[in-house]
Amino acid sequence: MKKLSWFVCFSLFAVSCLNEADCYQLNNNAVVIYFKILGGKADLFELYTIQSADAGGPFLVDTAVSYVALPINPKTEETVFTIIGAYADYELPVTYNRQVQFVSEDCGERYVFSNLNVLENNFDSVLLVSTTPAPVPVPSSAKNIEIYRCPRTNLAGITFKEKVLLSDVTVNFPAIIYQPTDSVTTINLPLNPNDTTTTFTFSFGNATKTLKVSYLKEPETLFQECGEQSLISKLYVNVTDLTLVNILNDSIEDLPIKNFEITP
Amino acid sequence: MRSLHNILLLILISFTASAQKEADTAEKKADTVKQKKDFIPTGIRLGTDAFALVKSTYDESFKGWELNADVDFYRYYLAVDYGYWGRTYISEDTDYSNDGTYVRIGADVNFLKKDPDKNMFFVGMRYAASRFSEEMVINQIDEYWGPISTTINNDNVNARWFEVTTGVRVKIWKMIWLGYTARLKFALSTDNTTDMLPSDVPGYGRAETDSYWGFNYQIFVRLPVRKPPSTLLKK
Repeated sequence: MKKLSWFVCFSLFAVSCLNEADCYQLNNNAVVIYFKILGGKADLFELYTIQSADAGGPFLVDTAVSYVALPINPKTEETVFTIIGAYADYELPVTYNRQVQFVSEDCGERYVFSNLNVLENNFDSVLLVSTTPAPVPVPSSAKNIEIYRCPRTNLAGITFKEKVLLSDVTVNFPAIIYQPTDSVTTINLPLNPNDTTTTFTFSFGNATKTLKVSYLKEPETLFQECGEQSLISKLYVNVTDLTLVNILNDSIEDLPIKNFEITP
Repeated sequence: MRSLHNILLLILISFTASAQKEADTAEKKADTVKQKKDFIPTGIRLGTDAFALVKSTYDESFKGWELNADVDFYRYYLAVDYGYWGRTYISEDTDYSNDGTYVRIGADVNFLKKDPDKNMFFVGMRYAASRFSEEMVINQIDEYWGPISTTINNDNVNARWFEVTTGVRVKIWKMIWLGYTARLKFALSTDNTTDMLPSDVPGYGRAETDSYWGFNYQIFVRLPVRKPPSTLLKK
């Protein structure tokens, strides 16, 4: 009887020590990309979509982000992300090693990705920080890639006194304008880096109004990758038919700050 | 942290077993004061893991068996295990199966060296190796990337690991012995595989765990090859 009790006792030990598979954060299939400005400052990347030709739909639409976590394709060992940005379009091809492992009946399988690499792309500068993609949900400390862009030295920040329905906005030189929605309280507009004046034309429904601003420009090479850029300062209002324009700040920064406050 | 917990648990089991066995044999020890060191084997013990056999009958996902043998050299035992296990998991979108054999070889030290029945409370070490194959069939729809349908195999993968063991062997009746072995398995290494990481290693368990507990409940038949040393001195 005493001997039998031994086996009962150790049966309990055995049951208590069984390992159950944990289904949490099984796959490390997220590439975490941080957007930065050369010099190290965090960027707010304004984009229309991020997608991959092999995926069913876009991963992100119409937003501004300082970082994104993008899923990589478990069917292949290369994923090409197409990023339609506010000011340019980019392709970011990444390669990786992919292995699959069965976990349990409840959890199914998990994908283990490693050896992440960034192939040739059209960003200003790309730094591979970690070659191991992040698990999902993505931990706050995860970072795989830092994408750097040249500073934008000609974006003026304009804020409206109240939210306005802005049907159109143009400038008097060839430039890309990012206008995320029709109703806005702020918008960033480019100043002509090759001139000392720029004219903005705002369409508020049926009314069209203009704002001509003047400034000083000074050529300077901030980063070799970016070449010579015009640094703009001493902004002031030249001509306008808007009700009121206040100058909040007369110099340009990146990320844009509020330079003008407009009452339409 | 988990490994530390496992080691502490193993030590706890060992000391609990030691204390109990000492009590069991106290009466016999009173009659026995000395045994000459005799390194010539007195018998071979052949056994099987009852737990594996029982599990194979009620668990449809598991098929396995294990044979055990040990030979005594005074208080030291050469122990060899050979086993087979195969698992089959079928779910809605992922099927997995594996099978393979494993072998363990090592030594145990019996701390009940004065027990006339050669009952054992032992601690030992094992080197273990396994050779197995596995297959996974995936049929699922990924949230972003659409249908995934693939079959992946690992064929003839070699794995190896070490074990710290402890347990008891108790003579129940004539040649019949019962015992259990608790084993802490660790330092698993497997061949490099390309597309599929090993999931379940026969004889070890889940491959992604750094250490793993194992328990065997064993039934033995001890075949004597000669009489035990007749040098037991009565008080």
